[in-house]
Amino acid sequence: MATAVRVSNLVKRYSTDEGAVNAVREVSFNVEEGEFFTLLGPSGCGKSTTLRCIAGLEKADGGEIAIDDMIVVSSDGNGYVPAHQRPIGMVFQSYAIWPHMNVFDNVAFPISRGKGKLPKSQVRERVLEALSLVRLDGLENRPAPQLSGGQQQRLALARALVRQPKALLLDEPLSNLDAKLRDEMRVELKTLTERLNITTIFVTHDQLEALTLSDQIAVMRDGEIVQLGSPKEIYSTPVSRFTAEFIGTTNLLEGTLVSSSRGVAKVNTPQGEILCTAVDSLNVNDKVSLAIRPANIIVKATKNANDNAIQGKIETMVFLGDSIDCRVESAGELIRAFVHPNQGLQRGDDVWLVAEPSDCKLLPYEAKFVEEEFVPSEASVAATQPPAGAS
Amino acid sequence: MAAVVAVARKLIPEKIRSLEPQYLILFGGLGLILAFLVIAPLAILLFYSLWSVGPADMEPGSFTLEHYRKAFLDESTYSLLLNTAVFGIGSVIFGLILGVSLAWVVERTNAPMRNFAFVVAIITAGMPPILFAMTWVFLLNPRTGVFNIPFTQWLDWDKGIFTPYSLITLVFVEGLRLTPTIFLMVVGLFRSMDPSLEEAAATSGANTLTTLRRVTLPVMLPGLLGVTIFIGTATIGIFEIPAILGMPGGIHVFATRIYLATSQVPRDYGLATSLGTVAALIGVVGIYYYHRVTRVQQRFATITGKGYRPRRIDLGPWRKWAGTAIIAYFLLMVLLPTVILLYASTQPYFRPPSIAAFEGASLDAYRGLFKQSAFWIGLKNSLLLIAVVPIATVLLSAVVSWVVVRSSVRGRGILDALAFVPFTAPSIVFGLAFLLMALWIDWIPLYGTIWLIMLVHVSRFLAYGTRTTNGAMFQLHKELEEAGAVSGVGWFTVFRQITLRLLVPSLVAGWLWVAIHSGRELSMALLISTRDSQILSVISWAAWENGRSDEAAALGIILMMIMSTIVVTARLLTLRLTKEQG
Repeated sequence: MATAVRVSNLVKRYSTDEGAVNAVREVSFNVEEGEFFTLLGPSGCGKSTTLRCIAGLEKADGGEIAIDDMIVVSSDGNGYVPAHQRPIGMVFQSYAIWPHMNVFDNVAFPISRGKGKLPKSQVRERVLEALSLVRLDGLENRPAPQLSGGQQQRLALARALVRQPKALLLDEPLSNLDAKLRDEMRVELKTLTERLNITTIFVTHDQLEALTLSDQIAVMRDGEIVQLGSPKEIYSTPVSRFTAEFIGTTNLLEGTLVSSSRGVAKVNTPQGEILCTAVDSLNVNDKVSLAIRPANIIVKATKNANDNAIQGKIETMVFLGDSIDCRVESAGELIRAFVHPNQGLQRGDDVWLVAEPSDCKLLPYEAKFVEEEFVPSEASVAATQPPAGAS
Repeated sequence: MAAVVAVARKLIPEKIRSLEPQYLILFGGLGLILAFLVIAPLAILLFYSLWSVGPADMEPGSFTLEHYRKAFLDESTYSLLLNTAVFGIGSVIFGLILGVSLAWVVERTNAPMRNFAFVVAIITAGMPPILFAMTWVFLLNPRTGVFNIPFTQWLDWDKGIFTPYSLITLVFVEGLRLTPTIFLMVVGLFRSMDPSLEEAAATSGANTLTTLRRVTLPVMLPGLLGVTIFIGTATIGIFEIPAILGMPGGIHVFATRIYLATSQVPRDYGLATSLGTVAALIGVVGIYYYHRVTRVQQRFATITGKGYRPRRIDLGPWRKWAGTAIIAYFLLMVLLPTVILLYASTQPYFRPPSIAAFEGASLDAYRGLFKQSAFWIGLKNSLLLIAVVPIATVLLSAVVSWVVVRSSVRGRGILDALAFVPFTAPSIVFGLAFLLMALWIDWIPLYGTIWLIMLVHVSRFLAYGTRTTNGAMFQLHKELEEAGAVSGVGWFTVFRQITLRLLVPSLVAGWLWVAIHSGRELSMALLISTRDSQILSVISWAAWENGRSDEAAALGIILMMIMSTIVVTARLLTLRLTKEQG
C-alpha cells in the first residue's frame, strides 16, 4: 500500500492577544491509501487545525504535507499549494451547503467551475452518480435549504466525493445530527468509504465514532499526538492516563509500584495492593496510575484466596437494562463496575472488587485531565476574530 | 540592488510577506483606493487650514495659524458654536422622543396600522431634506404661510404668529426629519432584544411601566446611545435645513457658515478650512464614542441576535389613540409635504391657497424647466449618480468587508477604520475637502465633472456600505466559502459565485440606501458642482435661492418621483429574491 497523505513535523501557531499559541506542535503521521484515519481529541487539541492545514484552509508555519505524492506544504516554506489546487474533498461540521443553489448545482460546483471543469454531459453523469452514492437520487432539483439535516449531510458528502479526490477530509461531520441519525450515518459512512476504498481523514471528539470507524486513530492533546494505533490497541493498551480516560469509561487508581518481577507488578494503592501486568519503562517506587475498565471488574460478596481484589461498599446502583452500573466506594474513590442485573446486589452491601492482573493497565502517573468547560461559540468567534478553527 | 530588495523584504512584516500575491494586490489596491478617497482630501483640507494662501492664489504661501486665530477671535464663531450645539442637541432629543415612542408603539404594542407606520418611515427616510425645509417655509411663512392664514387673512394682521426663521423651528423641523431614521434604527434594537427579559420582569411582579423603565430601556441603552451619537454627528453636517430656515434670519451653524465662506467673493478658504477642520474633529470624537458604544452593543447582539417574537402590550382604550397618532404622523410627514409642494409648483409665487390661487394655477414651472438645458443636464447627471454610485459603493464595501472580516491580514483594522472616517466630517466639509483636492491635482481633469461628485459620494457612503456588508459577512458562515475552496475553485470565482451571491439581500438593502442618499444629496455636491456637473438637488437649491419657489418645488416633485420609483423597484426585487431563495 502506498502512502496517500504524509504529514511530517507540522507546526501551526496563532498569535492572540495573550501571545502566540502553538495550536499544532510537530505532528507527524502517514495515512495509507484507502485507510480511514481519525484524529481524536478534546476541543482545542489541534485536531481540526491539523485537518485544515491538510486542506490548505490554514497556512502551516512549519513541516511538510504531501497528498498523493504532491507536496502541498514544503518544509523550506517556499512550496505552498492553495486549497483549491489540492486533490481533496471536504465535509464541514456545518455542512456548508450553499443555500442559493439547488441540490444538483451544489454537487456540480466542484466539477463545473475552476480547474477540474468537465464537459456538461459528463457533469450530469457524475453528479447523478454521486447523488445515488449517498442515496439522494431524485432530489436533484430540490432547493438545498429544504433538505433535512441528514440529507444535507449526505449532500455535503456527495459534493466532496464528486471530484473523486485523493483524500476525503471530514471535520466532525456527525456532530450536528441527533443521536439516532448519527448512528445511521456512522454505519453508512463506514460502508461508503470502504466500498469506494477512499483515503479518509476524520476529525472527531467522539471516541465511539473513532473506535467504530477507524483503521488508525491518532489521539491528540495540546497540539501533539499522544498515541497512534488501531482502535483495539488504543482501547486495550492506553499508554497514558489521558488516553485511558478519554477513550471509553475507565477507573483510575493512584499508587506506588512496590515490586515488579516475571511480568507481574504489584502496586500499593490506598485501596490495597493490586497486581497488574508489568511495564518495562516503570521502576519500583515510581508513582503510577492503574486503569481498569468497568466491564473487567467482577463484584462479589466474598473473595477467593488468590483473587486480585480490593474491598468496598456499594454506593449507588443505576439500572441500565442489560447491566447495572455499580459504583463502589473504596478508600475515598468511587470505582465503577458493570455487573449483571441478576446478581442480587444491594446498595450498602460490603463487596469485593476482583480483576484479572492482565486487565489492570499500569500507566505513568499523570494529573487528572480536565476538559476546558468553555468552548467558544461561532458567534463569539466571529465577534472577537481570533484565527478560526482553533479546535 | 539585490541587497536592497533583501532588506526591504525583511522590513515587511512576516504576515504580509507570506501572503499569496493575489491577496497582496487586493490588500494594497484597497489601501490605495481608500487613501485616495479618504485620506488625501482630508489631508488637503487640513493643509489649507494651515497655509497662508488659498488654492486659487498665485503667490507663494507659508505655514500659518492665522486662519484659526482669526476664526476664534471672531465673536460670531462662538454664536456659531452655540447655535450648532442647540440645533444638534435639540433636534436629536426631539427626534429621539418621537422616534423611540413610535418604534415602541410599532414593535411592542398592539396598536393598529403598525405596518403602515413602517411604510411611512421608509418613504420619508428617502425624502430630500431640502423639500422638507421648503415645506415648512410654505407652512410657516409669516405673511404667506398656510398655518398663519387665521392671523393674516381672518384677523387681517400684518404677520402671523408662526415663523420658520427661528432656532426653535430649526430644531422642530430637523427633529421631525430625523424621526424616520431614528425609528428604523431603534426598531432594529427592539427586534434584537430577547423579549424573555421583559417576560421575566413581568413574572417578577413588575407592571408594564416599571418593566419599560427598569428593564427595556436599560437593556437598550448602549444601542440608543449609539443611535444618538450617530444621528448627532450627522446633524452637525446637515446643510439644507439651516440654510433654508436659518440663514434668512441670520441664524448660522457650521455648515451654513462654511458654505457662505466659500460662496462669497472673494472666497475665504482660510475660514472654511479652519472651521471645517474643527467640525471634523468634533465628528471624530463623536464617531470614536459611537464605535466604542456599538462594540459593546454588538457583543449583546451576538448573544441574543436572533429573530424573536415580541411580546405585545395590550394598549386597551389607548389603542385608537395610538392609531390616530400614526395617521397624524403620516399626514405631517408624507401627505402635507407632497400636497404643499404640488401646490407650490403650480404657483408662480407662493401665496396661501385660495380660489384665486387655484384659478391661477399652471404647469408653467414644469414647462419652463423642460425648456432649460440645465435641467436636462441635471437630470442626466442625477440619474448617472444613481446608476454608478450605489453599485460602486456596495461592491467596494463588499471587498473591504471581506478583507476586514475574513482575512487574517494584519492592518485590516486600519482598512475598516479608513472606510469609516468619511462619516466623521460634516458632509459640506467633505465636499469642500474634495473641491480642494480636485484643484490641487489639476492634472487629473476632475474639477467640474460629475465624476468628482461620484467620488465624493462613494467615499462618503462607503462608511454606511461597509457597516452593512461587515454585519452580513459576520453572519455568513465561513465554511460556506471554504467549501468552495476545497471544491477546487479559485478565490475570485468563490467570491463571485458564493460570497457575493449569498450577500445579495444585504447588498440590495445597502444599494437602496446609497441610491436614495446619493440621488437626494445636496451639501457635498453644492460646493463642487459647476455648470456641467449640475445635479437636480443643486438646481432646486439654486432656484430657491433665486426666489423661484415654483421651480424649486417642481424639481422637488420630480426628485421625489425618481426616489419612489427606486424604492418600489428595489422592494419588488427583494421580494422576488427572497421568494426565489425560499
